[in-house]
Amino acid sequence: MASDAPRRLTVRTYDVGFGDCFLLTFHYARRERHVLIDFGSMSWPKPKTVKGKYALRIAEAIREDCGGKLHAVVATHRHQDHISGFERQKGRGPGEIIRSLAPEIVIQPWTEDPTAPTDATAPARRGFTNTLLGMQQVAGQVVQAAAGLRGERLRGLREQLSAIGMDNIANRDAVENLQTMAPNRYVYHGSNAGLGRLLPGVRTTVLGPPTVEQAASIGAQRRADADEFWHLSQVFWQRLAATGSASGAGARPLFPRHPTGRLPRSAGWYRYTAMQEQGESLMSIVRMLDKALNNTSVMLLFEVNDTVILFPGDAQYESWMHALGKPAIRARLARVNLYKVGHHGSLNATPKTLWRGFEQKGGARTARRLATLLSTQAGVHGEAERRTEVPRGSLLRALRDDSRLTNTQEFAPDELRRAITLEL
Amino acid sequence: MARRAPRSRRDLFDPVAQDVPTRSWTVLAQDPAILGPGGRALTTRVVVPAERLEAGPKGHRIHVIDFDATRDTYYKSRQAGPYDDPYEKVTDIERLVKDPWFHQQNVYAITMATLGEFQAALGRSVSWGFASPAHHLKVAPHAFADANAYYSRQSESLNFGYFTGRGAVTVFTCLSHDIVAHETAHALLDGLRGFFLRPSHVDQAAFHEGFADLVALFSVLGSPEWVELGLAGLAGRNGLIRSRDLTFDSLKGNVLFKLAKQFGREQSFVRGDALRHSVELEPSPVWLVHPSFQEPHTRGEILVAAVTRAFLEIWCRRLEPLGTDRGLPLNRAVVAEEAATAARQVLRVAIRALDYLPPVDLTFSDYLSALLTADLQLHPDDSRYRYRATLKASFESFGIPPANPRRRDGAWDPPDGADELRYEGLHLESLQSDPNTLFRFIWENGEALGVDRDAFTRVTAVRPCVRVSSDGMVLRETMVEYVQTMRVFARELAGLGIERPKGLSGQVFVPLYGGATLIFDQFGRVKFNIGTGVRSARQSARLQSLYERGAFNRGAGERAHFAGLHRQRMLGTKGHPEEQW
Repeated sequence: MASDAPRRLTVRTYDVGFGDCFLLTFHYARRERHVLIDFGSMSWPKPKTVKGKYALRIAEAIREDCGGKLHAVVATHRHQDHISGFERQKGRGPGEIIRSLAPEIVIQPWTEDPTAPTDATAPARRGFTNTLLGMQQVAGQVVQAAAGLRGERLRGLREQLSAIGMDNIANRDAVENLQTMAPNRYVYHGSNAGLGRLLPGVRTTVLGPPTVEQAASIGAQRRADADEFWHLSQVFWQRLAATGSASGAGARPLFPRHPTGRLPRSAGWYRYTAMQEQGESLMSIVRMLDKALNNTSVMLLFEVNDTVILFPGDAQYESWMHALGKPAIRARLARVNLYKVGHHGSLNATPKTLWRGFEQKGGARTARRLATLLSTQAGVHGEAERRTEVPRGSLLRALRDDSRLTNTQEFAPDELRRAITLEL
Repeated sequence: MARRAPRSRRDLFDPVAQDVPTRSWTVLAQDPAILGPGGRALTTRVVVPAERLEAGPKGHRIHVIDFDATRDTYYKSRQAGPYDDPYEKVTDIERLVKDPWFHQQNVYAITMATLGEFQAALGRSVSWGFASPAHHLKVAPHAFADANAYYSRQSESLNFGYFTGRGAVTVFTCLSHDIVAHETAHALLDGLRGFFLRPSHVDQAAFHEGFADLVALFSVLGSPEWVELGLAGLAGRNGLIRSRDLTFDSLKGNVLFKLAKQFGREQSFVRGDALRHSVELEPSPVWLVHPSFQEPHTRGEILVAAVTRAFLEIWCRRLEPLGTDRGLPLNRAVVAEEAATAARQVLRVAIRALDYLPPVDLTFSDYLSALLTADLQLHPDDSRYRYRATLKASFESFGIPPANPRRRDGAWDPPDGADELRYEGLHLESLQSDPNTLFRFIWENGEALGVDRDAFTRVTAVRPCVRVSSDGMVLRETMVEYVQTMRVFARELAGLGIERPKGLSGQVFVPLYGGATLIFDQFGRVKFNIGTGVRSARQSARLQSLYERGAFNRGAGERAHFAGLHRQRMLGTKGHPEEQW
């Protein structure tokens, strides 16, 4: 064992409902180092939130657990359920508390780099980041449009649209806090995480996100001409955002001088089905942008001696395949001892290739049995009958059967966080 | 003010001059971005039935409902003069773009004209493919605020979106001739071949897109005004084009490619760039197996490319006797008229081929054999412009041979065992109209027809038709379609000689489809038996293709099917079911 390596690792999982919030504490001989990975929720745990400002309670718990000092913050990606806890809310929000813990570095994906959109040397990259900006504008408009789907029959659609749309809205307050609370490091596959000085003896590898050039598949981009594709994609989302602005609540009529009136009785049925199809079309849009943002997740692999810890954010198939496609990385992933379950246990964020490769998974008697962390809340996303529910039933069974699972859904009513410790 | 007296039917058309009364209505030749000389609106007139109209317009097949789901607003339609065409002389494009009544007329007329083209090609009326039979297709010209347009079987409608384009200008998809024709083609194809919307081999999904693109493209090419615009750069001041500029490469690069680029660029989010891509796509069998062409919208471009290249060759060939074979220059209008004629003929055979396809599990090779058969039936002599030989060679250059390798011309063969078919007790009249009679025919001849006795069999269409060739030849046929269905657990596939996709659970319930199209001649005898069995060798490839596209994993419904497909055309997405939980 290297003399300056940590001897133990404590990982605290905070119950944030449908969101992620983890504190990694590396215990060295004479000191501790604290890394906060994500802090956000799109649905706080309801029985607990009635007691007051729950996000503040979590922030205070983090302050207590890290002894008033954070060394690093990782914001894996821009979704609400990963960064809403960083909101400052004019000095009264949980983000103010995190800021006061004076982290020395904030790690974010390259797509958050505010200079990326003006990077004229890489049109594909610029196109991608601009695409994300456009998508987030559209998300806000979808939330507005969802409210226009009136009637009990469209309620399910309205609620889902609103939930996914809200998750994708640009959270300016949290983003600005993250950008200014400490020097930022914008990472991509293979780049330096910038944690070497802060975490001696810990090898940190950035597995994702890949850049556009690294993985033509990210964001479903397949065309030979990436620049053209991203240019079109960027313009498409900009057009959609502009359309949403022009057509949202209080918008001018399409034909101001043209007579409008009551729909003929013979067209009443069409109106209902058209509204429903419009809702489903909006849903396909928000799902697309939801997936694109998930694929910008920072994926970190921490290795200390023979212990391997994997925090992949909400990365989905395209990002995963870029990492798993490299045999050397695949071999290291096989030795994972602790895995933060991707995307709250959704059907497509823990690729079966990854899961099958974990050598430490197995029954209760397995030596150094794989530990897994699942931060989730049922009933927010997906439908069981379509086998899209989150957490996905079959994945949950596999996690229970073949790993030592920490599941926030099983926390006691007054339990804010649960810690597990690994000897390194 | 004196109210104008309602007009009698006699006022609407001249029964002596027209045995089938029609009227011509003004529509945009392509879209508002394409202007004619002097910046004037480039319009054309299309022929629609002289039917009774209600406000909408609402005729006997189309009901234009100008309802905007985003704004929850209904725009009233023109009440006065429902039979007039007040836009015939309008040359100001701004006026047309700002007038929703013109938008309503544009979608009504293009949809009806496309329906008319199908009915003329097939020699019979065509129904819509809705779950409960209905005669009216709803058409919403301003359906929603989104860069999309689609056909929906569930809402029995064509829906055209609008969006904010460059310079905050509103772009209306209902004003793009090709987009309206494309969506109408989806609706018509669904009415003719309802099973083509079911999940199957990737060629089948690609066919829906590629075929709709073909209809859209050739509908526009059928307008000489538009082609003449494309030829403008080649013509001298005297309006003549040199013969050396009328070659395949010149027409491809200087005319089609130029026209493709002139399609309103803003609309490319909705329509894709099928014309441009198909012109650019060099013939090669590689595309069929290339990863980029395994999704429906891109794979459909192969089909468009094969037909478009054949069209270009035919166009050149039609110009030869007019002078290019002697090095003579040709008048631009004549060159455009020849293109429009060739386009209309190619479109007609492309549509007619639909009757010679298997009802399920279609491949591009099936479509080629259907094209060749459809044309051969009406035009046995192909020596003048060699349409069939050109189409066959063009498809083959993309690695698509005819599905029937036994005939040199690639057309379908008469059925094996035709002599063994039994017709006793079946009346000719019933064989041309009654599904129960046809089912009995299949029942009696199951073995000779290759019907699988373990599968559920259903006659899904009986369609008598009268087709007339351009030289006046009349062909009477009855097209009959039956579909077989067998549902098995994936674990049972091996017992049927079908490979189970690797990774697919044995517990998954898998539907297998088979069936055939039977073409009866005017004497009630089977001419063709074009089909595929539920246990055919194709099933392994079909199931693998379905599995890779996630068809067994998620209950993705058919609702808004084309909405998603068209969005994919722009942004591209792919499922990875083997990696999902």
